[in-house]
Amino acid sequence: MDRDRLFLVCAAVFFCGGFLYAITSLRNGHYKKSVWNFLAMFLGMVFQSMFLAERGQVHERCPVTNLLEILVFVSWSMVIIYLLFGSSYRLSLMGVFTSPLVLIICIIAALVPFDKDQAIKAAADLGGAETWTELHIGISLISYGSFGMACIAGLMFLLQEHHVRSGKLETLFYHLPPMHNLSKAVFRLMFFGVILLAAGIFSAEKIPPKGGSHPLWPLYAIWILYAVICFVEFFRGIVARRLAQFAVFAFLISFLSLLIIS
Amino acid sequence: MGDINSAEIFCVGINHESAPVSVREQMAIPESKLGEKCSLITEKEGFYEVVIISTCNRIEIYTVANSDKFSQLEECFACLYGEEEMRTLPFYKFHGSEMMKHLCRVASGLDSMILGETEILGQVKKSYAAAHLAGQTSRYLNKLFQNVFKIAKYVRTNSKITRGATSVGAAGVDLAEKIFGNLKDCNVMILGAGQMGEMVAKTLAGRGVKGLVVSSRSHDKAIALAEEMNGKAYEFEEGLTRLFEADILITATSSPHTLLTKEQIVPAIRKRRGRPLFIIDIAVPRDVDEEIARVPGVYLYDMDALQRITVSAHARREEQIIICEDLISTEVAKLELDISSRNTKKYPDQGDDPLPTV
Repeated sequence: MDRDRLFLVCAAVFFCGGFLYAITSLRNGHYKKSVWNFLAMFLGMVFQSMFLAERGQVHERCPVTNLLEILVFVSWSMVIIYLLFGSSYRLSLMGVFTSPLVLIICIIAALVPFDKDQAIKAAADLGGAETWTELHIGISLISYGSFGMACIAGLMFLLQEHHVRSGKLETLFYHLPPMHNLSKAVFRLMFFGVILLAAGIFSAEKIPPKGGSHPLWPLYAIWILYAVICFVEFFRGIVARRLAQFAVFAFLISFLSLLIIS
Repeated sequence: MGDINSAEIFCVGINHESAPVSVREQMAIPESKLGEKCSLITEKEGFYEVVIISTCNRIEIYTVANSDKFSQLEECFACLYGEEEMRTLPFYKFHGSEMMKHLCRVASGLDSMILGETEILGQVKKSYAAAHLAGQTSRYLNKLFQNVFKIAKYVRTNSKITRGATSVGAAGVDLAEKIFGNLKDCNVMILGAGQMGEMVAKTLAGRGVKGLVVSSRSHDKAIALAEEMNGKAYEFEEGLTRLFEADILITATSSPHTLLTKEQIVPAIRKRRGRPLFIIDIAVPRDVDEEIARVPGVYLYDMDALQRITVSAHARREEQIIICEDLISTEVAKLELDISSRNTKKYPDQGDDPLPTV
């Protein structure tokens, strides 16, 4: 097995382990502050970073040359954002909701064949990395990670709201954060993503024009979509359920835009 | 002093299952008198250590006494209350592992009227502290009670016996906390100054809400309740126009028809700029049109909905009894070994262990 693939498998094992541990603890009623889940996410992120570094060496540039690498990069940024914000804002269970998505991406990316020789040839043809391109790709995809986490927080909100409305106060009800905190997290993550994506678009405009670059209009469209949601929420206020639904819907659109970009 | 070579720890008492409230209320001992009452028992021959637990649901005496006193434990009550008829009350008595299990069940809330309630552990701790400060406990009861406190905590942590709201007020608080997070930023409005509304509002106010407003057709009642709860009173019509200010709205009027319709709530919700509104309608007939529950951002609960929550919480707690009993049995087996290694049969001896800090 290639080293890069091995790193992804290791990352998948940690994400899977953390998820299973959290689910088992929840079922047994012993879930407290998820130190083990957090640690598993951290180690998974370390192996994802090693995968990206390995691929980066092959491509001699930011390792986002195909859809699956893009997805791994986005999932890596989601995990980073969770590790930075999820625990500090006491968004309990956010890691539990993030790990299955990241796990699936890792497994698929590990299964898809990778032609190393062709990648080396393509890297030589491109003539090495260019600063603005690297910045554009990196920042834009981290903003997608932020939108992804807003989507996860939105899903958690909708689940918690379902519990509250139905009056079914079961295990998840007690472990999920309050709806108000989730709603705030949705807005902050979307806003953070909007700022990053603006920076990503700005850096794209600085890239010297040459053939083979991806179209920028999907990024503009996504930026406008999120910016409008944030604007309305900030100045007029959106009912929390609608905001959560927008976060999920907008991320699905963003996800589709990756197909066009890739 | 009697036969000092055969001491044991005993428990004798009555609770909500064995005696009616009319009996229990006569026997209740205020916390300030617990230590003094303990000494009345230890003055008797053959009784060495005593802790009295007195709550609204039980009066229990834990004592280290000569083994032959087991059949005369009712005397403890007779010497406390000075009445012969005390001897004929339906007392339960335990010793050995049964006594330890019983105390663990009491401290864990398994023996409470509201299964799994948490206040009892604090009450048992206070009872023990009172006896300890009065010098009525020593090696055996210190060891017993301090271990029982640990076991009760262990049982709570490792089971779901305390989970879920068992009263309408607590269910309202649980839901409000999951909607708003911190209730310290929430304004509560009560429509109607009835007893039920007051009860739920007091439970919420106990969590430190930001502001409380009472609005009732009887303005005098509204003022009285508002003063009692450190809040403000509005005229009833004014209250209806200020609905948008409330995060939590409790309606408990005696109105024979629907008081709040969708047409009234929707403009209020718009003014709230997306902030949710939690409505608890405990009036019968209901004050709030159930259609309002469909408005985004409104969370409406009537009496039935809240009671369903408490019933299912109670059922879930009952499912936990077996788990708790298993945990207690395991821990009591360890405690029994520990206490028997101290050999109560030689009680009282010289050079007691130093008393631990309470």
